[in-house]
Amino acid sequence: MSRTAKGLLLLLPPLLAAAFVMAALAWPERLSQVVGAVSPGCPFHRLTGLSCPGCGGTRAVQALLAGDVWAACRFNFFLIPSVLMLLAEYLREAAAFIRRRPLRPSRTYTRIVQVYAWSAVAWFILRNVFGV
Amino acid sequence: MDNPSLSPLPPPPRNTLPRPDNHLPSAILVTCFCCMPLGIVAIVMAAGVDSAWDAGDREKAYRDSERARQWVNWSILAWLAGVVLSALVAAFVHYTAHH
Repeated sequence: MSRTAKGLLLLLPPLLAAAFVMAALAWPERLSQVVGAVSPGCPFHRLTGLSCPGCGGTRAVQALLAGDVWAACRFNFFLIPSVLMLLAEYLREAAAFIRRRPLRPSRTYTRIVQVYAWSAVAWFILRNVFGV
Repeated sequence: MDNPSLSPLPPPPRNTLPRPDNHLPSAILVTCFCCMPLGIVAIVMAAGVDSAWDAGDREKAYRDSERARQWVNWSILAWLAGVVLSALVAAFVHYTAHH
């Protein structure tokens, strides 16, 4: 991929995030409806009746749009570490791009991602077995 | 008789190839966030890189590294396709409901 293409691709996430935040401030109810319409629902939940680690994410975002942080955490608490993880991955990519260096494999980062993945598994078990 | 300093051939090149990137963090992240089936294939490929390298099979290590990278990309593409598809379905449902 050319450097220009990669740069344009890296501009997309902050632009989309900014657009989402501005829309959330301007028309929270309308955006909540759009989120509900676009979300396909969880095929895993439809098939098995179990909640996957991402289940409740749509309702959590809608609760956030309604200003209810506590309800959002109850629908899907795991949204918080997930957003942080995505942010970390984006910052790593962006930093490598700005410094004009290839993304270096990092032992610490690999460990963090592994901890994140195992917490997702733990969260999956906890919410289905103990109804957390 | 077999004096190496008189040999016309240069010494064999030292192993200068670096250990290939195993793409394990990206493989795990796309499994969590993009497309789980394709992400799992990426994790399997990523897990093969270091063991092949440590076993001295440099060719397999580089091949698995490249495959892991490709499966990560397929997983991202599958996710993008899903996003576009669900947006189209939502737009279609909205359109048919109001006209």
